[in-house]
Amino acid sequence: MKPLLEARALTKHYEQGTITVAAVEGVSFVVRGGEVALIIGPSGSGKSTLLSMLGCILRPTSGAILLAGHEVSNLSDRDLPPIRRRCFGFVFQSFHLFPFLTARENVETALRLRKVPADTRRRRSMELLQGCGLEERMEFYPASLSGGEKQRVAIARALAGDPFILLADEPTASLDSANGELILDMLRRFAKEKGKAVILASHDPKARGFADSVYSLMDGRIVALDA
Amino acid sequence: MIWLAGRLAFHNRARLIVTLFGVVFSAYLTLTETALYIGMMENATSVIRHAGADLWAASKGVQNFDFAKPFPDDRVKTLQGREEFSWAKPISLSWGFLKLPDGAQELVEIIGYDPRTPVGGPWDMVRGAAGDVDGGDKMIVDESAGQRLGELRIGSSWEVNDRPLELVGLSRGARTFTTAPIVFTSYDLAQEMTPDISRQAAAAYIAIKLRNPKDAERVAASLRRELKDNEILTTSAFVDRTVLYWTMQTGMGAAFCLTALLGLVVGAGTIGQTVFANTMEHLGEFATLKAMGASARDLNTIILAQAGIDAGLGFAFAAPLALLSRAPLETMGVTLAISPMLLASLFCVTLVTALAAAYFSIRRVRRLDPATIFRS
Repeated sequence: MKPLLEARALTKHYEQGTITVAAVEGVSFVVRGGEVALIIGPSGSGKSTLLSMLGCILRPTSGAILLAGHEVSNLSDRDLPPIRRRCFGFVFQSFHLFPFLTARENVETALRLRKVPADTRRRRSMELLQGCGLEERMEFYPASLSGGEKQRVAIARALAGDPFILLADEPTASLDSANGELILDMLRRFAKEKGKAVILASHDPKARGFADSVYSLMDGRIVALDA
Repeated sequence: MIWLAGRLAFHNRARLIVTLFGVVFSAYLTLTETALYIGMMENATSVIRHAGADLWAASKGVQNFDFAKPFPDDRVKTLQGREEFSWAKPISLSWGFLKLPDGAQELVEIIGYDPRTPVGGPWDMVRGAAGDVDGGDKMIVDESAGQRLGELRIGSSWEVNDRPLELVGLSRGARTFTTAPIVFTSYDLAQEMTPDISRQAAAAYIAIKLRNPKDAERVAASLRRELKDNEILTTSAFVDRTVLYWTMQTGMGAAFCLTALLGLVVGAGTIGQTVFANTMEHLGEFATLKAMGASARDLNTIILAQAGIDAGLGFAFAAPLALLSRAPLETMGVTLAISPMLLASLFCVTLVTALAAAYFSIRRVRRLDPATIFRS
């Protein structure tokens, strides 16, 4: 399969007063369609920074990101939001659901950003929530949902725009073991059934069992590769 | 995205109510102050606007309608019968005292007009007709004067400048800036009963109707050359001069402007603070939206729409409140001139102010780094 996402010598440096801190240093890898890539590493190793750069949220200090063969790291700030909207889905450790919207409305928000018509929006969000086993919880607000349910809503929202790549940052960290496995299984099925790529940053040892390739990150550098 | 703004604005009901309280108060303050000012200016210019004249000849240096220096009547004759005029009618204006039933004296403005063509007379009659003051010691007063004068019974007798006058009619909407009641009498009677005007110098104004109103400026220029001791003004110029006098010379304009402005500032502050608090409280959600690919326009729309909702709801409550205040204030002799135009204009001003108040929120969200959601 062709590479969906390619990182070439990605580097991110932060200035802290007179000191330059290297959050990510020369990271290169390729993720293909249908692949689940796992990035592991201790806190502060640069996982979140790397995911931010791969998701076109954070601009690298140097290096390049290629999306389906096209370089996107040199695009302007104005051009990046449409890329994020069309190509990426995001799942976060703290879910980041909108507390003032129901589960269905949270999923619909992703479709509203893509200007999807109302009837399609409603149908698609309901299908996605049903697919995540939340057909009974669609009109519930996040405050009334369990952690596992919240993360499933977040996954439904991330999948709503039918992205090429799903980026998940510690998606199981706030969940119990059973819910964690359920979420990992959902992400893997998304990659395998739809031929999309999933890039996962996680501490969870169980995540290894769901990944096709594992990148171990230490002090911003890839120190081990298990593909 | 307006939908999202609505959900965000209505999510915290307690905050919305507190915000609305502030916005309603400020919009009400701005609306009533402006309406009050317009009402007072309408009162100050009511006779000028309703006389139907295109031009006014007044004494030199006239500043406003209520303070006029009489000039010789022969100038009326000079102007009457001109080809380009439909008519030219003298109007007298003086101040006098009306004796109340309890013996107290009330200051009144006496306007004398030709009852046969009631130019300068009452234009909206509740009882009687403008021409009823013809032939005899008769007068018409405005119904609003009842507040000060007591019961205004048709046929009752009132002493004005120690001369008994019969009340033959009641008008509506004829008021002065000074709030002194207007006593309308015939031009001849006004001359007789007012000590400070004589038969030779009785006209305070000559109201002129042109055959072609479009010629007003040209005819005014020509009259200025001819009547060097008089001021010749078009109706709109006379209205402007009167408004300018009361607004600037009395400091009233500054006072009203300041209060109306204060209302806007309070409203803007309330909305700005609420939208900013809402933004700060939901920075995580804004960062999420940014990460999801929301454009700057989407995010600005959410913030501006929230401000718009606050302003719109606040005004929607304030406008009926102001309209409801009209009747009770009217009984106190206070005119609130609330027109659809005023409501539309002030709504626009409130909305623009509210949108401007959202600036700090927009700036905060623009600077927000969406990568923060990966760290939280």
